Amino acid sequence: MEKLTKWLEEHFVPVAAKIGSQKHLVAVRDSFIAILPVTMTGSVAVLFNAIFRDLMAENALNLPAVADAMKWLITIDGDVWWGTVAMFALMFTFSIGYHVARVYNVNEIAGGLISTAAYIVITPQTANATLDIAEGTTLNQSAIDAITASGGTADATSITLGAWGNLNNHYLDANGLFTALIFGLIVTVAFSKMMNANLTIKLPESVPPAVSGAFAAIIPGAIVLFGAGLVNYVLAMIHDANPEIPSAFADLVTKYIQQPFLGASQGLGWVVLITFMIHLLWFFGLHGTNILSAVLDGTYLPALFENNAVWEATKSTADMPYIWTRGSFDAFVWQGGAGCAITILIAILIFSKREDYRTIGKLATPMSAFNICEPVVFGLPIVLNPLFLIPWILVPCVLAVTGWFAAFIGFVPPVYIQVPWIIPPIINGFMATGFAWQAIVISVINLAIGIAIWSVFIIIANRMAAKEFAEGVDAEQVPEQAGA
Amino acid sequence: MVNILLVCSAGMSTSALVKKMQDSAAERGIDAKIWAVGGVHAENAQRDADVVMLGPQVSYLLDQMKGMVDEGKPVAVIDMLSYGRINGAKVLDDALALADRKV
Repeated sequence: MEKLTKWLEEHFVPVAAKIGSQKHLVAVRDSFIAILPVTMTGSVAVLFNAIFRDLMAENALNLPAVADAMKWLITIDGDVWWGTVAMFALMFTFSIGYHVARVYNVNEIAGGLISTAAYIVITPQTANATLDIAEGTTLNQSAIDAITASGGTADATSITLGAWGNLNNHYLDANGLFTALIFGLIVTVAFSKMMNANLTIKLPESVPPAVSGAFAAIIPGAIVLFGAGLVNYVLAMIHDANPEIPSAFADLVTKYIQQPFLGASQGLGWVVLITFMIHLLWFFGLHGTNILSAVLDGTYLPALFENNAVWEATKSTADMPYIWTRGSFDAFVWQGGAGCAITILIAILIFSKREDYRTIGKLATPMSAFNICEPVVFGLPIVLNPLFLIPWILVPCVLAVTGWFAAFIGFVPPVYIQVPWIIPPIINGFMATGFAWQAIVISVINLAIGIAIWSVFIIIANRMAAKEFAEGVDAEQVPEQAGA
Repeated sequence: MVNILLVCSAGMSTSALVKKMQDSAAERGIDAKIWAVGGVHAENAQRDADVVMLGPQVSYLLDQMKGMVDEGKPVAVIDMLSYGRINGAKVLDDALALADRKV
C-alpha cells in the first residue's frame, strides 16, 4: 500500500497538477465557470416552470388555479429560458474566446468577439419552418407542385420552407456546445498566436495610440474570420459532392464527435472511471472535480441541457436522450461533497470513539450539508491516509453504480435541471429531476450504503486507536503523521 | 494593516476559515483584511493583498499564482490540517509570518 501511494505520488500527482494548470484546460474550465450565472438563471426559470406549470398540471397535483394564477411568471420563464439555456453554445463561444485570449495575454474582449463572430460565420444562415395543414383539409397536387417549384417542400399535410437571415437555436443551444468549444479554441488560439507574433498593422508613430490599438487586431481577426468562411465554403463543396456529409460544421461535429462522445459517456464504465479518477485526485489533496471539470462539464453538461430541451419540447422525461448528466453526479454520487462526505461524518458521529474524529464530525457536518467536503478531506484527514483510501474510493464508485442502474432501468428519471451545487443532499436530486420522488429514494439508499461501508472502517479506526493507545502512542498524533 | 487573500476553487470552503481568521485577528487586536476568492478571480484580487494563501486542494495552482502576483509578494499553500480543522488562529499566524518575511 505504501509503495503504491508513493508511486502514485511520484508519477500520477505531477501529471494531475499539470492538467490542473494546463492553460487551455484552465481556459475551458474558467469558461464554464463564467457562464454559470447565465445557465443557472436559466435553470431557475426551468425550475419555476417545473413547479408552477408542470407540478400543478392535471397529471400531477392537478391544481389548475395555481397554474393559472402563475401564468405571467410562466411566460416570463419562457423568455428567460430562451435567452439563457437555449443560447448556451452562443454564450460559451464568447466565454471560451475571452478566456483563451486571457491565458495568451491578448485583449480578452477581442478574443471573445472574434470567437463569437467566427462561430456565427460557420452557422447556417437559413432556418426551416414547417407548417402543418389543419386537420380535415389537405393540399392538392398542383399546390404541392407550386410550392416545390418555389423552393419549398410539401406533402398533403405539411409545408416546409426555408428562410434566409435566421439563426436556428438548434445551433446555439447545448447541441452546439462541442462545436463552440472546439472551434472557439482553434480560432482564438490562432488569433492570439498571431497577435503575440506581432502580425499586426504598424501605423506611423504620429498616429494616436488608441487608433493604432484598434488597428492592431485587424489582420489576425481578418485571417481567422476569412479562414472560418473558407472552412464553410469547403464543407459546402464536399457536401455537394457527397450529400451524406453534412454541410454545416456544427452538424459535422455533432455527427462525428459529439454524439459518439456523449453516447460513450452514458456507459457505466465511463461514469465509474470518472468517479474513480476524481476521488483518487482528492486522496492526494487535489481538487479532483475541478481538475477534471473540462471532461465533466464538457461532456455531461451538454447532455443535461439536451435533456432539458427535450423536456421543454415534450413535457416528459420519457424521450430524454441521456440517462446520466452532470447533475447526476451531484445528486447521487457525491452527496455532501466529494466522497459522499456526509456519510463519513454520519458514520463518525454514530460509531467513532476517537475524540479527534468526533470533533471533525461536529465541525464539518454543517458544511457537508451544503456539499463542502474540504474539512473532511483535510481535517480528518483523508489525504494520504492508508486506512481510508479504500472506502474513500470504493463508496463513490459503488454509489455511481447504484445511481446509474436506477437511471438505466428507468426507475429514476434523468437529471435535466441544473441546480446550484450547494443545494443539500436529497433535495438536490429531487429538484434536479424535476421533483421526482424516485430521486429521493435513490438519494436515501445511496446515503445508507455509504454510511454502512464507512461504519466498518470507522470501527476499524477505533480499534487501531485503542491498540495504539495501549502501546503508548498518542492517538491524537496519528492523523498528523498520516497527513505529513 | 495587513491584507490576506485566500484562494480556493470557488471561494466557498475557504469562507469558513476566513471567518475564524477574522475572529482571531479581532481577538488579538490585529488590523487585518482577510477575504477569499475562487481561482478565477485571483489575478485581480491579488493586487490588494500583501499575502496570498492557497487552499491545499488547489496547491497545483502554486506555480501559476507565483507567476501571476506582483513582484516579491509571498504566496504559499495553507497547511492542510489547519485548513481542514478550520484553525483560524494558526493560519493567521502563518499568514503574518509570511507578510513579515517580505519586509
